[in-house]
Amino acid sequence: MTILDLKEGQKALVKSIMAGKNAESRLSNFGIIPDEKIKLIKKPLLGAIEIEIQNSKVILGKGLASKVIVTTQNE
Amino acid sequence: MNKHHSINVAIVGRANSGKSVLFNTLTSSHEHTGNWEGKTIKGIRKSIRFRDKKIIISDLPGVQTIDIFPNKFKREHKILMNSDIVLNVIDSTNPQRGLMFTLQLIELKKPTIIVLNMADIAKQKGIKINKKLLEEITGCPVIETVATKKEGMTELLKKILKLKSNLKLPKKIAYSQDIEDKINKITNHIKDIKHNLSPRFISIKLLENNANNDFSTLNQKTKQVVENIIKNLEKRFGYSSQILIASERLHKATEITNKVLTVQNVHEKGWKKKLEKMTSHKIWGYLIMIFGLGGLFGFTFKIGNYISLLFDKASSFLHSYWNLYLGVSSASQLGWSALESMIAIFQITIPYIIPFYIILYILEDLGYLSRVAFLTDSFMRKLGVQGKSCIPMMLGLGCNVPACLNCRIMESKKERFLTILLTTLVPCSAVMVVVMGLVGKYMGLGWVLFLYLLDLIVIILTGVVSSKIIKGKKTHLIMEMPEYKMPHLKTILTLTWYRVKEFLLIAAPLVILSGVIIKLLEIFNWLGLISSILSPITVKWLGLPSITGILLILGILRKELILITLASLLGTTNFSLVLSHTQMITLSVVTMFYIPCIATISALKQELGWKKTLYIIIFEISLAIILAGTVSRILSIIKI
Repeated sequence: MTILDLKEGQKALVKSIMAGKNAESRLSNFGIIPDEKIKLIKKPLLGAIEIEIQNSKVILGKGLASKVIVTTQNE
Repeated sequence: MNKHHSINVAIVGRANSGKSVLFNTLTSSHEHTGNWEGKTIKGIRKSIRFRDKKIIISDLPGVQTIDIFPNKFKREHKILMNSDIVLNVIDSTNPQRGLMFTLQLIELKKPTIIVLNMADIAKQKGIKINKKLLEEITGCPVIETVATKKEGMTELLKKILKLKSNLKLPKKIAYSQDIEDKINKITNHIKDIKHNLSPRFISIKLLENNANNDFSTLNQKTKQVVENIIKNLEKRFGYSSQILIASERLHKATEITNKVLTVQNVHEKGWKKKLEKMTSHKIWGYLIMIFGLGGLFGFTFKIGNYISLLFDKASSFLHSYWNLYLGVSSASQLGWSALESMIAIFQITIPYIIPFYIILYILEDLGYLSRVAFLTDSFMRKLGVQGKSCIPMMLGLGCNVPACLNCRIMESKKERFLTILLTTLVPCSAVMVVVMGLVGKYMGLGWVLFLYLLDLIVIILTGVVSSKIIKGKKTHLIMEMPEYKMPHLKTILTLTWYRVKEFLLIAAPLVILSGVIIKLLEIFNWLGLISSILSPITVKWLGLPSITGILLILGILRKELILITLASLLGTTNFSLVLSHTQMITLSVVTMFYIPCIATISALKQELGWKKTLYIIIFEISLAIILAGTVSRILSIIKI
């Protein structure tokens, strides 16, 4: 599953990033790398998504979010 | 320039750490700053004097990763590499994020001062950073500042002088053994390559193999060695070396943060959390956005109209006295029209500009524009752009010129062009003056909203259609969501005052000059001649009075001139004497779209070159003529 599949308020662990080097570099610059815990905060219909990672709030476009593969912790 | 006596200082740091504010406060300039990412696009340099030393300060916000062969922000990187001292600005409320960037500076091995900015907000949140320990770990002097309140500035300047006279390099911060081994391996290999940068920095960059670097200039042998090392590493860990290095920095930054940071639970102010929740809410968020923007215009309308009416009374009172004492000769008419143009500025323009900018700047300073970017990203992608495009577009409501320059925050060429195109369609405050002064004053707020809605529809359609025609790369939105902050009243009033001052200094002479020229043309009977050139379009197609031809020509200089010149031609601001309601709407539609003003055109030329600028101009002129003619016909059928 990807970040996009999470529900608002749900926590997960980043598994991998299915994207080119460029997207990978941009994501890692915001701390979005494998083995990091994230929480989906908001996912408005017409907008981007907001996540919490390492005590920071980051917004990312849905296209980019769909490249971040995550796993929920109870799995 | 005397190189030996000046100190080159570069300000770098993550987006939204307050670099621009620090730069402004240090140089006491008034470059525009705002609470969103990527605000200062052009690297700005300014020199100041402090204790007989010349300090040249550069603000380099574009530098978000430090690269060795950058393929973006080349000029900024050059300034950074050539600087004597680096000021690394960190948001004290979230030092871990800032330290991820600091670690790259430490790799670079440049004398660095860590500036823990926004210390006041950190204090409010109960965050305490052990400066001494951080200094010990990094080897960099650490200082706390509150740039918005000018706290810590003298001390910072003192630290710069001290560091310059007693150069101290950052300490090496070692990563995990695995990575360190690889770094050393590469360092051994590049020993004979002469470079003025630290070998460790070069090695890490080669190992990181970051997408922002262009390694094509590297010699084949080194490339091969590095490639093998990377391959080996990636095979062992299953991640790209880029991720591995990022993860090293992340964990180091977290480790350092945990050592130096203590948080006491302090009761946080509730309004930020509540506002945060409401404004990014699934439903409320959008409603607040719509009402917020509606409120921006509603408020401007109410206040503007009220003040404008007061000026109206004063003006007609003055005019009757003028005629009474000076008679109705040509000379007295010419004099009155010069005076009337001056009064018209206060009558038509200032009352609307001031409340408008105050609210726009409050929204910006609060951090609301980032929320708009967040709420609209998916929608904006359908227009070929992304959420970030909303920021220049919202600023375009004020003035298209800085807004077009701000389109540099867009990363791909296609998105930049499209955002610029859409921004030039956004009605700026000058257009607002025309719309409010004509339609608002004589037909009411409802029709104003109708015109803005029409503009919005045009923007959407233009975006959807042109995104299909123009080819190019799309990028994705990613940014730190800035926390709301209390708008700083003084900053807002200062910025508004700068807008008004700029208007008075640039527009007022233009207004008076064109007022006098028009009156002269009228006295010599040339006015009709010039206006008649455009009359096939203005009169026949648009159904406007022939005089609007000359107004529209002058309007290219500044769009307010359309209304102000009309006022000086009439000798009054009672426009209902010459324009019917349909004509008011038609003229407003033309004004909204017909051409970007001359200042915007020159900004477009600078950003896009002549060819694309010309495309935009031709597109907008045709759009204005077709749209306004159509609207005029529809309105005369339904008879408003």
